[in-house]
Amino acid sequence: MSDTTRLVLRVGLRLAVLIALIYGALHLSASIRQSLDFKIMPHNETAVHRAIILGTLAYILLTAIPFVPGAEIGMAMLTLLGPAIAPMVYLATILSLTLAFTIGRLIPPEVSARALHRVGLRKAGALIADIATRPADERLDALVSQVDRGGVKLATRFRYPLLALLINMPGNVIIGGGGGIAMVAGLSRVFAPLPFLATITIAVLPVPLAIILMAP
Amino acid sequence: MRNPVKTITVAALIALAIVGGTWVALGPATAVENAPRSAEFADPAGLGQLDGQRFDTEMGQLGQPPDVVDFVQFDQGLFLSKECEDRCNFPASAYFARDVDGGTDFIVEAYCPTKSTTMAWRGSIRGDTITGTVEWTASRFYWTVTRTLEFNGTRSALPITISR
Repeated sequence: MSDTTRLVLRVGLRLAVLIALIYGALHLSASIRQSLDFKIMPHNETAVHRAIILGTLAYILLTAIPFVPGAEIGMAMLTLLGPAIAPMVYLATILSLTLAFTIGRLIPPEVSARALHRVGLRKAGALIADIATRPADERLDALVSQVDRGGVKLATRFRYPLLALLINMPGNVIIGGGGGIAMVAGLSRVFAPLPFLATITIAVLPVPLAIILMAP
Repeated sequence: MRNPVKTITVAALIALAIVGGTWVALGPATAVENAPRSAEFADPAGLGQLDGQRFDTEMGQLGQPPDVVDFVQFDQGLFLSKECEDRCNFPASAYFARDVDGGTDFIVEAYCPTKSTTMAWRGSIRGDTITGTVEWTASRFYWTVTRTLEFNGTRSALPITISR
């Protein structure tokens, strides 16, 4: 068996396991929903609507805060209310990450440089302080030229696909979660707003899409 | 150095958008449980062949035991379910009735403008009993929920209370 065939088989097997896991999780959440026997009826619709709106607001705000796990609210909404709420959760996730990104863009570079310096990340602080003084179209080249390691240079070049990967990576809460990653993307000022929006629109699509397509 | 006025303005606009969006999404304050009836949304009064009748009813999801006690009444060409009026702010709505073998069938579509909700009633009156189904549809900007309910009841001697 050639190396290429082995690689294709390995990737295919991992993909199949992932799809089986998602399928199993969807069936589990459907069973939970069924056992809860929760039904939206005329007498509780107003209360459910308000809970959805306030829950979505909490989801947007909490997910936008670095290191705060807000995704669980979205998962709880999907488990309780089913695939019908998936488009709303999808849009709320995009809004939340956009909010974190915008906040990151609003924080003056001097403030973030000082904060990094204060927590002992002097080199990173100096890098941001230096980049902030340059015009926007020179920032990326300046960043790449100041980084020695090839891997980091590559990551900088392919920053949008890397952003999509990081946002979907399980356990990303240890590097700030979705909100933290988006906020740092905004702080860095090497992510343009529209390509950032396009990236997260695609990056957060797989889970709600899987729920809509595969829900029992 | 960034312009602090611009930063504060953008931050204030974001906060305003979040608070305003939530307030709009929550809906009008009148769309609450036990809201008073709003006569301005009621259909115009007229005459109908079922006028003057009232039935004590119970209602529940189709195929499930009834869980709501209600009464429905016909007057001035209008139909009103007391429970739906109290809970959902549904106004009195025009009904259409026709004589059939053994009794009368009627149809009503009640629309609640404050909640963008409709209740399509299809009922049959046979002697002193009333039976039928209600298609309840609630439309929100993120989904539309539909439930089919059923109701049944008996004629009541109590006075009609549809007032305009």
